[in-house]
Amino acid sequence: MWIREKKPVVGVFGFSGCAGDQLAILHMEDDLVDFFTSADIKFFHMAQSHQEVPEVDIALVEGSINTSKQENELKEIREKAKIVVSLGTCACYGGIQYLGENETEFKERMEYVYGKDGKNPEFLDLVGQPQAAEPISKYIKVDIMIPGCPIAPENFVPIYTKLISGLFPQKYPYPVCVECKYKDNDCFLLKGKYCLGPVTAAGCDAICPSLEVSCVGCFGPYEGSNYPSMIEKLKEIGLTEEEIKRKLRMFGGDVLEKNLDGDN
Amino acid sequence: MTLASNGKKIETYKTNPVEILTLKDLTKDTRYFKVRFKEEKLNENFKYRPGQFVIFSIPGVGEATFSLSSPPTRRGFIEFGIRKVGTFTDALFKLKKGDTFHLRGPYGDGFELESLKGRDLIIVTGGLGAIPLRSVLLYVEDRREEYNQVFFLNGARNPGEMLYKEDFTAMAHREIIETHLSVDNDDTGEWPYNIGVVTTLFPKISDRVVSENTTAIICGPPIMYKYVIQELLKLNVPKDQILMTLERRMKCGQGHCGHCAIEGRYTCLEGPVFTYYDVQHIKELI
Amino acid sequence: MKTYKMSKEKFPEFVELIKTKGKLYGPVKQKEKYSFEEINDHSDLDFDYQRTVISPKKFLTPPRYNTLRFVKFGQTDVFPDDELQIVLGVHPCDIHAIKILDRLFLGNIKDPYYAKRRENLIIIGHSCLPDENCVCQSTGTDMVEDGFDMFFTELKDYFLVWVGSDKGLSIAIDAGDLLNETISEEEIQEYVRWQQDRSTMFKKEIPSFKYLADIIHLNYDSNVWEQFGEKCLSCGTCSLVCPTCNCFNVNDKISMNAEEGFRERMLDSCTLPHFSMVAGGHDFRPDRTSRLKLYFTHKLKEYIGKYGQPSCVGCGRCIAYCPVDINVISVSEALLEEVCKKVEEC
Repeated sequence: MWIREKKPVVGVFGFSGCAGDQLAILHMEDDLVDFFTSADIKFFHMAQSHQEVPEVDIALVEGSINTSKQENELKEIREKAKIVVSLGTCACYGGIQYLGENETEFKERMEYVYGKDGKNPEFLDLVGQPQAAEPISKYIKVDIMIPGCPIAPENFVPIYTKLISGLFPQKYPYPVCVECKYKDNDCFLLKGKYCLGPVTAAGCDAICPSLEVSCVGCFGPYEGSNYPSMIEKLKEIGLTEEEIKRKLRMFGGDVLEKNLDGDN
Repeated sequence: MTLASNGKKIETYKTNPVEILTLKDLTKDTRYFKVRFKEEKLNENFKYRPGQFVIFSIPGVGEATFSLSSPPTRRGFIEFGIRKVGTFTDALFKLKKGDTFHLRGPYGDGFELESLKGRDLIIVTGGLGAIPLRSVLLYVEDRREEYNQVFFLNGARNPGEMLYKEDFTAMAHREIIETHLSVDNDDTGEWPYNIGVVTTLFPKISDRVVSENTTAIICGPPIMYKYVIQELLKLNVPKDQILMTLERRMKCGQGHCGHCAIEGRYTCLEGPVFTYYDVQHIKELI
Repeated sequence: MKTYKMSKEKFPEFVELIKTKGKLYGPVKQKEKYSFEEINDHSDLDFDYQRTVISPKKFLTPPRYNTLRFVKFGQTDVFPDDELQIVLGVHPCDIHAIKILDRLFLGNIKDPYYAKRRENLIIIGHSCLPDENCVCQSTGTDMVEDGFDMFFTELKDYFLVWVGSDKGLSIAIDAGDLLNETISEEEIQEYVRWQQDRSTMFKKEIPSFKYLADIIHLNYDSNVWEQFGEKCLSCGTCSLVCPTCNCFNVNDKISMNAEEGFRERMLDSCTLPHFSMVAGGHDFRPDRTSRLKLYFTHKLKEYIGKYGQPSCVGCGRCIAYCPVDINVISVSEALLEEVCKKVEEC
């Protein structure tokens, strides 16, 4: 087989989010020992105590960017990493917190929570000036995205192992429907129930539809999505345009914002 | 390996290891690979036709399709010209002399040069199209007596991007095949041959073309096909005597994976060589 | 072909018998859908079904399987286990579909993975009655004469059992008393009546199926395709549920230790965005319209040129499962309408 030149240095960094993607890595019990031995893990936010951002070959970056301090730290990671991977839907598209991206709403909420007099609470010295949630690609160049809320090991491992082998995984986008049909599942849309499978990137192995739960789109947008037709279909089964867009936006982040032309 | 119901061994996906003998950069992103089978007798027994292709396999990286660039008349090694354009070639370009990888094939139907004996040939290449047709050119040079007039027209964007510059310049000097070389632009100021798109070479040969005895073999970027075919039709070369080789995504090379389907034709089985007549009758071929 | 009779009360015993020969699969009802699942007891079986979501192609070209295992300094082919798989309850359309797959995978160039699975598959067909989406009468695949090892036609309180292969015959011989060789004149009459009744039960047809190849050819540039392209979700469902779609993709997967892995084949669909993209990024079919056109021309037109028969068996799965109603009927109706517009009479 392909023999890699060297064991690369990897860093796992976390920003705003539930840290579920880091946790998903730590939960890969069968693969965990190999994870820590097949690459030189120099930094793992959740698994090791804090250090300076090291020089790495591959940076796995989880979470959205919500403060000025995070933005700076992210840019530092980019400078020190050869390959940057956005890990999980928050880092890839902004995550659920991207729903609060609208500037005026964001200000209103800040004031509501922390008072109107413009004084920054003390903790802001620690975390930096808050700003609306954005995917990491808003601030830096991202080489590859591994979405998921959280990431699925069966999707993450083959992409990650290519990277640590000095290879670049080939992109071949397909939606949840493909994996759903691999599982011999019936289609929710045909039963008059909503499901975002046709506009959601695969990788989850259609875990929700296989358990009789509609896809909510947590792996983020599928590149081949046909939004106008999907919206029509969902209207046909009784959802209002507003409901549909709210559902699409939940995990769709910046990509959905572009595709829905910014209207509400 | 498994046994079919008739007891015969099935070896359709059997790959053979090859060792890299020579590597040479042809342009800034295209590299010449000369390889030799590790299994000695294969070097003599590996039979193929110009225009056929093989599939490289590097377990862990994947598989990818490449045209054979050497002629079957020269045995003991096979040659390729490969442009670094994707995930597989990124890895392939990291291999060094003496390294091994696997290949399977050959696949496709290639050019039936045996059946063209006695005919005039016009071989036109543009850009990467020089890679598969180098196999045709060297084959014809080796069996020159079997063909009548043979013209070779090659176009490249500029001297730096010209593939097989040494090979083709030598070919021009050997004069076994009448060779005309051209570049769209000469950014070096030292280009000794024609300047202009490849069709500007046609006036050099057109008065000698005997249309009914001519077979044209062309390979290049889609835009080149359009203009070269116009020139050939002007010279009354029959549509079924304009042969071209096409590229498609392929995964299996044996008509099963479906990726190379054009309507219902599998490029890997019925191609990659098609005639202009086919092109006119199969939508979306080029 | 040998024909037998089996009384329905003997059927459980027959199931027990064939279970001893290999892994048994059959149609099982799960909530509102049917699928071919492993059968532990004859009561799991439910023959009162129209179509499963995925056809028995899943036994021959599974959605995902490994073809090669590699380690640092070597590689070995991965072939399926040598275990016999027996599928009960396969309808005529799905048997026809397997015949089409056989021609592709077992033709001049044999696919070793398919061949191995096919050799180890025993197909026991079962009669069916059409629902509103069955169009197998149009495609001429409502009846089947070969391609199965055994075929059960369900009549009042007995089955007529056809034996279609040596493998089927050896099962019949093993079944001994469970099968009865005498079939009365009355029973033959009943079977003929059943066939006649069944043939009147079809509710839909594919319009002008015989001429569909020409109709597609004539409408190659019609903007009907664009209209379908606008609706298509590029979700791949049509290919995955189609019993004759077999396109696959190949991907090498390295294990977490970075020292071994597998080459994996997975079912693909020509309606997915990168299906025709080559290295370097050129895409021969970048839009949904051209990909849909490939799907339907390949299936309904080009197969005829190659095999004298389209690769649609009228199972109705695309009709039942495309979320936006793009299927053999809607496409052929729209194309036919285009032709009618041109010739002003139809």
